[in-house]
Amino acid sequence: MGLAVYLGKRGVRLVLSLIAVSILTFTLLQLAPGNFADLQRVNSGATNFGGVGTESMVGELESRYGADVPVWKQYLIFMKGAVVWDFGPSYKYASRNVQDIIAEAFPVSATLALLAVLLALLIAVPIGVFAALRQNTKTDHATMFAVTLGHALPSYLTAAFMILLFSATLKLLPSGGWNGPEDLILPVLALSLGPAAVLARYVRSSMLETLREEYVTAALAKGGPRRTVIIRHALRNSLIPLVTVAGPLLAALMTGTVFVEALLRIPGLGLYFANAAASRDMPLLMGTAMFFALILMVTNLVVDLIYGLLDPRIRTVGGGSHDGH
Amino acid sequence: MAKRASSVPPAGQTRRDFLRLSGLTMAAIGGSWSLTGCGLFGDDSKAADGQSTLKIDYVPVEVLDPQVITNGMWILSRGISEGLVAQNEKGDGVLPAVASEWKVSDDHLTYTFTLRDNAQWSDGKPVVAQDFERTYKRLFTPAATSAGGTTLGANSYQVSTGIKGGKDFLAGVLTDWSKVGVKANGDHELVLTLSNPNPDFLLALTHPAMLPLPMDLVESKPKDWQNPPNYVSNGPYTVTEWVQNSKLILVPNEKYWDRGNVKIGRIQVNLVEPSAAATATVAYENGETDLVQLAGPDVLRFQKDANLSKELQQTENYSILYLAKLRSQHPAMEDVRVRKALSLALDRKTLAGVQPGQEPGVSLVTSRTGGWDASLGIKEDVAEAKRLLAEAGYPNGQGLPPVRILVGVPDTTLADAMVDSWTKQLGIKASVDHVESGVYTERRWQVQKGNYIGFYYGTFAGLPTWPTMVGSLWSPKNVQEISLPSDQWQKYQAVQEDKNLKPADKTAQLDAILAGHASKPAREIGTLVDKANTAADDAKRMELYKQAAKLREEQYLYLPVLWLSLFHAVKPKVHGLQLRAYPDYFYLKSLSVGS
Amino acid sequence: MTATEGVEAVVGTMSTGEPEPIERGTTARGPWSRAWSRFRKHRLAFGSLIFCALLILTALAAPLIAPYGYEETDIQHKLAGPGAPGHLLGTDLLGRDILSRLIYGLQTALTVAFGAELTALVLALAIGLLAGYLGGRVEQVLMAFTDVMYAFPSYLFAVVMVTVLGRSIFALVVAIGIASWVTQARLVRAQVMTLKEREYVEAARSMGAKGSTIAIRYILPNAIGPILVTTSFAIPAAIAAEAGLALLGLGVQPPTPSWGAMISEGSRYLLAAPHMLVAPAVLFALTLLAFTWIGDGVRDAFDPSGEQR
Repeated sequence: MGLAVYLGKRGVRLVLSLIAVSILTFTLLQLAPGNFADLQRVNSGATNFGGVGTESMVGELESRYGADVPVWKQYLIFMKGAVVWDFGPSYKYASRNVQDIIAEAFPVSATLALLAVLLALLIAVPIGVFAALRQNTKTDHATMFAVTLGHALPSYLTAAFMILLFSATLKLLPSGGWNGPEDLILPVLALSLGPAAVLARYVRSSMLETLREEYVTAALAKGGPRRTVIIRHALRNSLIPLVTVAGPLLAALMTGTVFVEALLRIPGLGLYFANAAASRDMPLLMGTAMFFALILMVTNLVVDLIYGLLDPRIRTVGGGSHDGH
Repeated sequence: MAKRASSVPPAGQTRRDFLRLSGLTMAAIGGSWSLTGCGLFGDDSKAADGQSTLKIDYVPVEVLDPQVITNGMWILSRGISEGLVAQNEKGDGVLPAVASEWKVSDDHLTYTFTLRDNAQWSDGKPVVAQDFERTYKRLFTPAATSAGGTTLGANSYQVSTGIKGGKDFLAGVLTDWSKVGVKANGDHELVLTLSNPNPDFLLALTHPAMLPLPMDLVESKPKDWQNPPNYVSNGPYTVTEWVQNSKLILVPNEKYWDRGNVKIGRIQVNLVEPSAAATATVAYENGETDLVQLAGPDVLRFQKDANLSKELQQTENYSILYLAKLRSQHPAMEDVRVRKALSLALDRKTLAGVQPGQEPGVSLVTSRTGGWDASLGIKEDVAEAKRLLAEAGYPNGQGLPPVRILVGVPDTTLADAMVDSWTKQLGIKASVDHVESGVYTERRWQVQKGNYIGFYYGTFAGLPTWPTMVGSLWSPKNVQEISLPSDQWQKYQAVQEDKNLKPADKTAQLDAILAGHASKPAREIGTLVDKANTAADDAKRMELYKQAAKLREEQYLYLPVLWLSLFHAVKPKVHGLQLRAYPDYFYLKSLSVGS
Repeated sequence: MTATEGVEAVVGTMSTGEPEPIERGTTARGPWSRAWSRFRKHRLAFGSLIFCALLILTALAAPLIAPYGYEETDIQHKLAGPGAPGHLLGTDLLGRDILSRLIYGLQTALTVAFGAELTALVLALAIGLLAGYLGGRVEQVLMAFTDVMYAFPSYLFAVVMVTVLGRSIFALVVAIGIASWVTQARLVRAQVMTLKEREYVEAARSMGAKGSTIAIRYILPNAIGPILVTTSFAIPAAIAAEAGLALLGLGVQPPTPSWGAMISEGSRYLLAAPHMLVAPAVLFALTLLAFTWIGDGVRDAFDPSGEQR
């Protein structure tokens, strides 16, 4: 199968999946109780003031959708814009278009995600290799114990703990906000621990596997310097499958991390998405949901391609080279 | 916490600089976006040397339009926009603002404002009477506040100001703007005409919806006028930067008529998600913010700490926590004796002990309201409550379905405590129904199915005046609506939602349902409030309002539960904070930052 | 339910890596008893298993063990610190005993976690087995569906489930279960694809065994090891997801205690009443760790390369 054909097939699948995601999101939104206007009225502190006044306050759908347009037509109008990357204005953030919000907030989430995965790799690779080389020793066990700790704790607990430690007690770091580079430290740390643990485990087992491969044992038996063999042969080959793990991790982090963003006061995309769902902001929810889906699927595609390039065994790029992940 | 952060920790500062550097290094490794001071973190315009900076916490601002009901409107009225008048220090009267003086006609119906001739927008244009007329026209025009998205106007609040023709223009019944009581005479005179005398009218003009807008800009850039650098204001401060979900940066409006009294060089408003309030006090004690609102246990902690307690400020009786009857297919709650029993059996004193600064809410009208006396208050009486319950056919709660409290806010502590109060004092079954806020907004207006009975949980804050407490909050119309029998209520809702009805017909049909089916006392309350509005003298007016209030409380359709206080923590270096019991809490103009 | 849990979900399957076929080297002792003896040697995992068994027993016997009812209030003694008379771990805002609420919260956490995992497993097995075994059109359609669900924001799904079904344990089970079956279904399918080419499956087929028989009698038992591994990793993820939903105000209906709700309430008063956060957070973390270690043990037990600790 040629690469062009393969890419074409994946492209078609991607588009179909996006359409399916949009329909599903829209349907679920229609099923969810409550609407934007009522929620806005109740939830903003402002609404505690003044009378209840039902009729005139139930919001008017703006001209883009029109008040009397049937639901399915609203969907079509939305999708017509979405095709040319115009999701229209958000209900809640009424002065902004959804695509502008994404353009503003995505770099924030993406930066955090990239840094977190990078840091995770920097932590994970040495730890994983180290543990693998000392398989079944006390060091191995202790390292893996620490790694499991990082794996099991959700990032919001880590973040809360870090605020207590670095901000409340040591007074070293701001407890949140988004004013300068120092505000990157806590979220990147909090977000990287989980992925670091996953990657470290993966590096370790992948390294162990490679060390058992014949060419490595042969090279070692020939009396080659242990370090060279390990770096030249074992490490390189055991890092290839890492792509399949790091990719989805990156995608998951890039689409925003609601709790960490809220707790550390970071204007990322995850917060917008959660708020859009909670306030039934149709354009923003649809826009972010489709964007997330796009990011996930593109990342998967890129991972498959890279994997195919790196690992000669799967040069015949099949449909699901990283199935099971 | 043995140690507290002093306001400027010099040692910490160096460490911060170091960390800032290491953060930069991290950013450089990531190196994918332009991080040099701007872009990712916003413009980050720091105050120039020698300029004072203030950092305050606020909730996220989604929209900066004072006519759209969001939290944005209340940051605007703090001193980004300035209205005709502003509230005085205590919040019970008004001071000149854009209007330097005003005259009130003898019949209390016509207000003539003289605008100061040196009032200017931040772009240097003069603030003129036409600006106000055009702004109010926008407010009273149905669907006009659409800032390019679905919005909902604050216009419906304005019905209670009583501006002549405003309500009809908004409903679409009146289409001739010249018949509405808003008129600009030249550049510096604005005449507002009311349909009834309204003793609170001047205070009502301090509501954000009555703030002027730069209408030329609003009309020429309907989508972008709120976004800096387009943003133009006429108050002491103006907005230079707005990062959604992160911060607003305010600087003095150089063209402001009273520029000499604007003392802070730069105000950073941190936009903090309510769910992140957990760390609000960490930020405060860490010197990241100078002013923050506090929640219950934090208030206790501050009160106990010798130093922190000095930084604590209380706004008493800020809001009223109440329960409102839910409509149901089950008839139990239609019996006033059942509702009264439930109110008499609430142990408000214990409830008030749950969090600091709470008082038993014995009436819907707070005791801050001038002329309030204990005769309005509920006298709790468990024995009487039991007797009433038995009389209504539910001795010891037998046969009474579980009483629910429908809650849509995250914290159910107080609702849990109320349930506890009922189960302990009356021996009935009760429970909290905690739902997602979307479900809450929908369910509270529905007729509940089967034997689901109870109340929804809400809070109101308003001016401590009789017209607000009786005429606007739990208004006669609200009382009449909630008193409708379930079938009539469903009819009423159907008419409200009917898109084919002409505005005038709709209003007429709704009024007819209320006139025909609302309970007699509920209609009586309406008559009393109408009479009060047109009463000749103040004593008579208060008497009528009180009668209406008393009658309303006796219906037990709305049960007052607690009067709640607000707490703020303020750094000692911040001077001039004047807290008022109004949703904007304080004005920025009076603030200054010392050392 | 959000990206954070997304990571957890990814984690769950990731760490199993490419599953090794497990029938290799099957000798006199069955694969199960071999796995069990290997598992027992994994001290951390075995200890965790005992810990989790204790947790389950505690949850079952909650009314006997808990010193107070979970909704028993005592406002006079609210916010008592740990070690207060009669309240080992202190009390909350309404003077409710935190230890008792933790114990009852265990019921919620375990019910939701096991319920959700069971739901996910049933869905994953059904879809994965069907897709893997039938292949062709059916597989394409099912896997396309899986792809969509994989890319679909599960937060919204959870919101809708929880709002439509009410904030019941059942709703949480369904919401979390449906949100987490996707990765498992992919795993099952991959397993089936490798297994169905194996000789003994071919043999069974040549002897005229029906597709369903092959799927259930031959493929399923052999795929169960890796699936068990994923499941044991997915249980802590489900507990974390419940806590996450509670943080968003979508957890189980109060006053029924849930750890997530307790953590979210406690974190609101981080400095003022840290004991409200510390107790549930520590127990929560320990439980997550224990289940993760069990997962480790199970994986090592089924991994023929036999790397043990």
